[in-house]
Amino acid sequence: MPFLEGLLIALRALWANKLRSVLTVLGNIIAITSIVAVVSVIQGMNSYVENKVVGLGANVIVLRRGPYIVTSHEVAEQVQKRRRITTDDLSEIRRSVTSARFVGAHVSSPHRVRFRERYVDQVEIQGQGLPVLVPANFEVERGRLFSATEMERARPVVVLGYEVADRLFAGADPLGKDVKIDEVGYGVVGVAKEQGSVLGVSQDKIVAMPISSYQKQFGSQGSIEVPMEAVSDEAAASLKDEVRMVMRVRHRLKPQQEDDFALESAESLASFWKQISAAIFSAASGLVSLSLVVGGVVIMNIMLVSVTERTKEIGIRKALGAKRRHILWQFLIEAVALSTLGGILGVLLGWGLCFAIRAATPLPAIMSPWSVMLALVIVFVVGIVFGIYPANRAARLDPIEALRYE
Amino acid sequence: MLIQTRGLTKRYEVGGEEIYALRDVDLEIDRNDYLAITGPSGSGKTTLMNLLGCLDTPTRGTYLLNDQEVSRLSDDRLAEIRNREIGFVFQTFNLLPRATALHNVELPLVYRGIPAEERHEKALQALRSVEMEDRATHRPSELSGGQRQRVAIARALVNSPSLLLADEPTGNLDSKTGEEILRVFERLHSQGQTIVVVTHEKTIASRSHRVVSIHDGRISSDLRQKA
Repeated sequence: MPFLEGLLIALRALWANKLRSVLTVLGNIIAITSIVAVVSVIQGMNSYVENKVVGLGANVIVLRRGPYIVTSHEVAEQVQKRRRITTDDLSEIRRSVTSARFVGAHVSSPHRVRFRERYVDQVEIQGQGLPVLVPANFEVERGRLFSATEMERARPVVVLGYEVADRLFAGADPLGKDVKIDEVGYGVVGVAKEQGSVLGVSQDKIVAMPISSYQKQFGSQGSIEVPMEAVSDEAAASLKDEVRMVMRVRHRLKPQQEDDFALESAESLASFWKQISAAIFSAASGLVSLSLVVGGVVIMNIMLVSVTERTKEIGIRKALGAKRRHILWQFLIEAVALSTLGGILGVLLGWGLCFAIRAATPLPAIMSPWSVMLALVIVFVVGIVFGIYPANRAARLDPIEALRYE
Repeated sequence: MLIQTRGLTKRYEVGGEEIYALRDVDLEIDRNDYLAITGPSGSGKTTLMNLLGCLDTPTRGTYLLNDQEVSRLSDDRLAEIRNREIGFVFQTFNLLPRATALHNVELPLVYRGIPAEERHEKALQALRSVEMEDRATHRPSELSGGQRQRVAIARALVNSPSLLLADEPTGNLDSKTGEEILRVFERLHSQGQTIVVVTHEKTIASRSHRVVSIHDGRISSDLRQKA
């Protein structure tokens, strides 16, 4: 019997019991919906963490007072007591570190930015060294970046973030205009390229200026960050060591004392996220396997019912010449079709859920083709595993007994 | 000779007790014979029919169908024999309720592995031979009893079997419709079809050319009534 014939028989049988079919595969639907949704969210988060949250280029390490991600209150307090990273540290690093191609600087704080009667609050004002290493994808779209001379002389010049430019100038050309940051005037020399948002936080609500200008207005008491780009992949590790030695000497740390500063890289952030996502994933897959087993048992049960209900049909088919494998295939295909139906509904539902998550929360969710493939392979296997027993029972029915069944 | 059985015996064990449903039956059926097997209920005529129809295998004895020994074959080989050599007509028609008349008639061809187009063609032809072509797309529930039995006959004939085996074919029909079915059988017989009808009704049996009576699992009489 050709496969198509079996599939048609199966689909006809399922269609005849529409409601029962859908109820039967509820377990599968739930399992697959969760697989697709969880994988989508993790997948989405992965690409976000890689591209945006980390915001660090390859081979870039950042010297900071404390780590980016602080997981306890105690650590946060301890970090607050540490010595600040200062422009003197920066100068020393610039002087003595050999494996860095670039050494930047970064400091920021939120302030109000005003142009005439328009203003934007809580703009992240960034004091930047040259070149700009953080964020990694920072790019001036119109105008120019501030020059080395402007940096040296602490000139009042700024590059506006995309959103700031848009909200203050509403389509007019901001280049050459003066904006006020906390009532101090700055000339606009450039507008940055749009960055989008990370977890609902706009990355374009920024203003970048020379770090010297920043410290002129806001003082040099805050701790700065020092991003550095290694000369090569291999040099990244030795760069870390060099900076570590410089800072330990400057902070006069004894050999047994721990570092009182942090050296962060894209890797260290990503590995933190990987731990979280692995934990989410294993918890989710536990739940999913549980509901798949439940779903599979329900399918097996309903297939046994179906075999009993259709004993007469099996008898007729056998009398007309159906062999065991014909009957086996018929019911196996039906179980797999049933299971796959649940999988397809689950994928559609998961897809919808994915959209809903994206619309209602800042969580990014990306529907990946491999999660759909995975889901369909899983339900296929579930269909076979839990369908084989009822199908085999049907195939072994005695034709005389089956024909006599009413 | 189409059928030759020797010492055909079927024994069941019920609660530790041995029951002979059929005992040493020797039966020969020629091609193009029209034979009725009769007997009261419990006589063993159904068991004989199941054996002749290759639905069951005997405990003892031999059964040559078309010169082939079929009494010791596996399930699947028997299914193949049923598919090619035997056309069943049942008292309760036994059509698949959800399938159309055409699809019901196509079933034996499906299990024979005939491609869809040819299957379609042959099934329509079989329906035409019982004057049911115009009902091809109807489901059994949309057909009268007589029409259902005609579809069942079309299904039985679609693979051109050596033997048409009918079990109380008029049992669920009124006498007028039953008469129609018997006329179909007579026509098929005149075209060369070998027919075995199992019935307990004397009037049905009397329409055949040879009546084999079964009592207590043995052949009690074997009468040829027409030339």
